[in-house]
Amino acid sequence: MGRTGTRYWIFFLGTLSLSLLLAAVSPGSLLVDKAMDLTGLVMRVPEWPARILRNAVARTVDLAAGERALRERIDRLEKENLSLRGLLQTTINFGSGPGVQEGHVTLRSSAAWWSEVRIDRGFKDGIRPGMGATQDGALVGKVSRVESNSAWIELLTSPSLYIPVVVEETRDLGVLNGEGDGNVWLLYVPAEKNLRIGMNLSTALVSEQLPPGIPIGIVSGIGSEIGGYRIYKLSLNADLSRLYKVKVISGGKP
Amino acid sequence: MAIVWFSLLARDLLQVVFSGTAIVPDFTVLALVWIAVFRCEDATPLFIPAFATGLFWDLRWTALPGVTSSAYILLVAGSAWAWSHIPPGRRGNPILFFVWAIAAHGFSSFLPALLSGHGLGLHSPLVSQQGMALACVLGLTALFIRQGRTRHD
Repeated sequence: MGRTGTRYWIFFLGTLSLSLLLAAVSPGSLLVDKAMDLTGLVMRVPEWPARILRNAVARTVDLAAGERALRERIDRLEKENLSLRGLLQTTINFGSGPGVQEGHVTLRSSAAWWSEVRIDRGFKDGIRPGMGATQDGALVGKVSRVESNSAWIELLTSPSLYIPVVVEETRDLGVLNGEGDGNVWLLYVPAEKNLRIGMNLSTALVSEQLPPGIPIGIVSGIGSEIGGYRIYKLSLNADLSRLYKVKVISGGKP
Repeated sequence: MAIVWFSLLARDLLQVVFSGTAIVPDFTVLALVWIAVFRCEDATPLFIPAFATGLFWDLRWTALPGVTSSAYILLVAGSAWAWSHIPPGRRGNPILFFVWAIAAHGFSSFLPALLSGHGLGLHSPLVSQQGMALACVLGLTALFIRQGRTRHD
């Protein structure tokens, strides 16, 4: 084997082993998360014209379809709806009043597919940890951490997220929790309550950042009884497989 | 080698434009295959750009650092190896190039999905990406034929 051949194998095996090593150690690494954030931040400059083009095309399409007016109306109604929900809960003080910030999903790691997504709105846009995020009016998760220009949203399917919810028909309270594989369960409902399939769930009073009454999903299955409490399988109203845009409910107090 | 970086930038910008709509074809892997085929006797200088562009793409879009770069490195090595074992008279065969380029594109696109288990299925955006890639590879094959003729002349 000549010098060229040796050099070839050194470069081939060196770069390949480095890649495989990175692939093995990167899932869940904080350093890699920082590197991804940094890459996104650096690329904001060269990608700026592309984003302008994308937004311009989207606006043109919206205008052509007459959708823009409808969206504004939905936004206004959503805002009004949130204010009304806040008024109904006299113990809640929503500060300057709830608003919505629309964000595009910029990253959804395959390793944490059912746990979190990153959006292109951050601290500078008024996003704070704990704020709720919705898709077409249905809750998809809560803001878990915030960078200056981006924020991570922990999804309802995440196993580490627990959201207090209320069954609309019976006003029974429970806690929603994900399994990390796309399934979501309702926990801590007393066994004698006998919830039925199809019953609706919405957020219960949690904090001043997540207003009560945001639709979440329906009871889709009845699970086993554990220690006097029965678990129920839920179907989410939000379509997490097509999560491209979210609206973050801003304006509350932490 | 600038074409590899240019193809990466073009893909990144197009992906921003089409984000939420479609996955754009992997121009970088096509550029790497193109260069590896023409430099099959010594593909050593291609490994570093293949690693760097793959890693960059993973950090920006797939969130699986190392997967795309592994695919790129394997494809560069595979392309150079395959082409160096083809008799010189048959290296200009456009059908061979077309089939190889399509297979290489499919490999680099599906590898992250296969490893993560997400984004597979007939209605997956990856399938429509392969359709768009087909058009790109056809154009590249036309360039390959032209390049072959120029060299022959």
